[in-house]
Amino acid sequence: MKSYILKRILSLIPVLLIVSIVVFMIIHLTPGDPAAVILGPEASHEDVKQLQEELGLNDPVYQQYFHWVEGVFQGNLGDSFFMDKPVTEAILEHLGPTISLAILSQITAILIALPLGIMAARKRGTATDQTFMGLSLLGISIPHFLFGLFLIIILAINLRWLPVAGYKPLSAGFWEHIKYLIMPAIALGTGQAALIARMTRSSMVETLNLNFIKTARSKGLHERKVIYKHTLRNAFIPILTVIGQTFGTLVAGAAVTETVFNIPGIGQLIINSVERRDYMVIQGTVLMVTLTYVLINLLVDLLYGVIDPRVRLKKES
Amino acid sequence: MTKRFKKLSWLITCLLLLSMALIGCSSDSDKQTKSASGEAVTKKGGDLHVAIDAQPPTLDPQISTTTATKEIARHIFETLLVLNPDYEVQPMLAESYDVSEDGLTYTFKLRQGVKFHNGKEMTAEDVVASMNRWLTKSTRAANAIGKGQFEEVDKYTVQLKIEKPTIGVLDVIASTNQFAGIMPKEIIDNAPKDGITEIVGTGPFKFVEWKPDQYIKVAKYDDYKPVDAPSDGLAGKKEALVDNIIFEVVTDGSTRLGGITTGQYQIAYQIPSDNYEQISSSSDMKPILNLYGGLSFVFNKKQGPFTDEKLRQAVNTGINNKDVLIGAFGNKKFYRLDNGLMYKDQKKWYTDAGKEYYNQNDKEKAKQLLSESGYKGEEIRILTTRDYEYSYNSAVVMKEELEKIGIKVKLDVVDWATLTSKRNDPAAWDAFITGFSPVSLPTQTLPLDPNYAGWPADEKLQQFTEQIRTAASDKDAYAKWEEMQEYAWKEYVPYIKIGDYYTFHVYRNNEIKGNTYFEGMILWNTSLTK
Amino acid sequence: MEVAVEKRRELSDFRRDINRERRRLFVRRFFSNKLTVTGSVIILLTLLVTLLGPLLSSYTPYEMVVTSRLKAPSADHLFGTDNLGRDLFARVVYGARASMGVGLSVAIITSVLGMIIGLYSAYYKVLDHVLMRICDGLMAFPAILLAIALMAALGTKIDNVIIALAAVFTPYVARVVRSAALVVREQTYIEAMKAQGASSMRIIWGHIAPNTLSPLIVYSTFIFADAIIIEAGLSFLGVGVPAPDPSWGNILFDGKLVIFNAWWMTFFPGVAIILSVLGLNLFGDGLRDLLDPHTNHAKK
Repeated sequence: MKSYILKRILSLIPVLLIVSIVVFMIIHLTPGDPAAVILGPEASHEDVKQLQEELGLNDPVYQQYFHWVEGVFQGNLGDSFFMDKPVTEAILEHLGPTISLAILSQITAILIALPLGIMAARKRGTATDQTFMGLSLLGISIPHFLFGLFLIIILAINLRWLPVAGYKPLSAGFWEHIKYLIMPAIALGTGQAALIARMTRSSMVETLNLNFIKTARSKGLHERKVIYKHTLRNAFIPILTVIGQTFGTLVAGAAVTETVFNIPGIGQLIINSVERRDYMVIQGTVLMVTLTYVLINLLVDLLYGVIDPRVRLKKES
Repeated sequence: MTKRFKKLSWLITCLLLLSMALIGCSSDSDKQTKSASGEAVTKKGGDLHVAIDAQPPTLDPQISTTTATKEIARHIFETLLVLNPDYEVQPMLAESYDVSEDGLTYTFKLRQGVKFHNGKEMTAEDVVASMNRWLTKSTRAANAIGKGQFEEVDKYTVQLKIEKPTIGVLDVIASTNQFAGIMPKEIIDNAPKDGITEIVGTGPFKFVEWKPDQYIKVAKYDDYKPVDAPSDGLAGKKEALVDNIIFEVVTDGSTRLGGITTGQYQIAYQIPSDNYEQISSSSDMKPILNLYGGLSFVFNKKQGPFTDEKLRQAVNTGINNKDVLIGAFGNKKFYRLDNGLMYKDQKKWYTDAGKEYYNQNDKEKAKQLLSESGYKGEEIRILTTRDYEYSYNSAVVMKEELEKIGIKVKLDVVDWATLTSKRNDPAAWDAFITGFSPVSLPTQTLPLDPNYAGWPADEKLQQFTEQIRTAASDKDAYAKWEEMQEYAWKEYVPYIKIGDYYTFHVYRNNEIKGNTYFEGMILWNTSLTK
Repeated sequence: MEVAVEKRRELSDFRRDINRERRRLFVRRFFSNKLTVTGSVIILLTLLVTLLGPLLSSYTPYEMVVTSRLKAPSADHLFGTDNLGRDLFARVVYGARASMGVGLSVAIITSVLGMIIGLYSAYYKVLDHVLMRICDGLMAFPAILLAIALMAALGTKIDNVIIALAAVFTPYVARVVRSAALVVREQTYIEAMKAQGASSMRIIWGHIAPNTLSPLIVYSTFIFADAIIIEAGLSFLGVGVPAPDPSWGNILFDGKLVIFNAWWMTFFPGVAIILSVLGLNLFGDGLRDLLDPHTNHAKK
């Protein structure tokens, strides 16, 4: 087990290296630079050039890269050109909204997905099943941000139940905090719910066909007990995997939705930083996001092993 | 349905009902505050929430020409001189000023007892350090003042010495964009190149906190010493009447609109113009229309087809300025057809010279000019950005207009950062569209500056500029400016000012009072009512 | 000799019969699944609209009447007009070209590239290590963020949207092809062919590749759908298909600014996106059930 974890962690190194090189290359291929953005629309060309020089933007790219990597190994992601603070601080400030949103979306997703998936599995083959699965496919087919826009038109503009967009931290009060996150959480959660529901259904169906469930039934066990105690528990591993993966994508894949709802999270930080050409922030954030993403996947894989020894054995061999 | 499942669905239903009830409650309480605030009573203190449309790149007013920087920094920093709403120079941190007979020495007496937000008293050394830094940072300052330098005379007196007499030195010192904010000498000495790191000024509000992409918070500065004169635009008495101003960064227009409508903010900047009717028909919100600048179509005169004067004239002759303006701004309250390169509101400099060449919408004559020009059907690249919707929308209409007279057009839509660097490359574009905000002197007009993107390196234009700069009197300068503007419309056509445009801010008139506007929002002397 | 020919003919007849029977079964099963049929119908309709676009509307998507901005849907303007007074119906219909075109191109390009990369890395172990690490690296980015960054670097052009999306999705396709190919590679007959000295070219393209086709086809249907979604996202952020060419995401971008006044600018392109993506997903799902016996089993 230990050597497996170690191997997995070591295998992250080339991934991160490639990610950082790709990001660096993309950034420096991009026209425009932070100096011009800082000085504003009416600044003269000479001033911009001077600031570029002073910010070290005219050094050769590989030199800038090594300089940056050196910093990363010392735990220093550099300073933002735009925000007068270290990149790590900027990331931490944008992490709160993203995590709140991710958790709330995931709760929404699970609340919708599990009951639907279980229902569909129990009534497999019937019209209910087809309807549910058709619905879940619809859920996958609606882009999150588009669903968000529809929610805004209905819930915020026509019914005026919820604020159009924006964000209040938890310190502004629980309800204030939640109020702004309801629509984005539904928008994101529904898509995730569809994925989880489909996995729940197929995993449940597979388990329901297994002999021990048939035995349990034939023993005259209560259907409820069969479903929730025996089947769900045994069908849970793949479901957990999907939940884990969707959570991973929520951390940064929600960028467009964050933009629609003006939530100052990680996704928006990256998009804004691309707009501002805040190189250091882009590099640092992408590195962090990638790391989180692969770590969550690793964690899910490991959990897998903890819950189901068969998996562990297979992987080790 | 099993029992367990029933329980679960009950739970969900209850949760849903609860949340709906909560939503209901909150909108109820909103209504209550609305009705209760019917009679306006001034309240001391409180927090003022302002939705600003962009995050400033820095709060250092001396280095950035960005609007967001100006809007926030003007509450924190002050200048020696300021402008009143008629664009007249008034003292602020300077108690008085004096110009020598030969026009080469400007002496400023400083107000005594003015304290920075860090408690230190403002003296001549701070002013000298600040002003000299500004002279190196601001292109406009360098343009007007040349190689002048500030020097300390005594603790409360500074002097500016310039090489040759020129008009408009005081106007530049008082200008509002990339302004000459006074800050402590130590902070300037320690400042990195991309702006000061400690935000310390002398203004009625002091900097508290900046959460990137969320908000910038400033608080009332208790030791602020107002100038003893009635308040008038940026001039006169300033008093912080609220405890805090929270500038919330809300980049999306419909979010700002939503927030101001529901009372989340008391002020919202830059509401999309299509919502003007909706706002003006509301009883608890008021729009503030403000002149933002001139929408301009800038030609590349260094390289490509537009080096041809005739072709530029053809474009100017053929386009329907009104259609472009409607496309860009929609509501007719948001644009003004006017050919003054200095704005109508700037009485001192405004002229309509050359107006017969403006908004001709004469497609036939344009085609005629086109055939006389050296245009051979090349594709014209118009550089534009969707980050400023008006720029993009007007580019789309301009494309239509140009195609009507037989010019091929390709739009090059990039993001703002790309545009700013791309336009410095003469090989990369043929025209771009942008807005130019008002400047205090005709000689500072950017698109007439031979070094600015577009490069109007025309001898005659430069002669005019020099003549205006060194004119013996304002009257002579004005006469030269009239000639220059006429020349710009009639012959050289360095750029086409398509028209003036306005943007609008919104405030909740039953929640705040006293806020005014001059080249930006003024939030001192503004109080919450309740 | 005669007999052998006869036999061969019989054999080929037999084969033909089997194939015909298979096809018949495939078609019947295809049509027995309502969802799959719905999906196919939707896709066909969308493609039809894409191709016949110009015939469906009396307006062009570029024609501006600035005085009739933001008009609500009416008999004259079926979907209303946009913020520059252009007919929204025409824009949505023409937008199908950009959106579907990007989706289809990306699906094709990623299939070809993904197939090459997947097959060769399944066959050559060393290459596998290098290519798969690169794929891992690219897949560790959330797709939309990588696409945004690439678009910023490349500049907004429809070709660049396709390039960026192809770069984003190719690793996923390569993975799918590779894992299907690995299964085949381990089979004894491949080993035997190797031992006989068959060229690797022939083994890869003649024997391994055909076996990866069915998962590839299913997967590229989903890529088609995902590409439509991400293109919409990019254009919605203003970094996708360059204006004034309409694409569904582009119209949404314009619509967001006037969302308080003109719901139709969000609604109609939105529905277009949902329908086409839904159609593709339904189709892909059905196809997978048909081609992959395992999921069939689970469904029953």
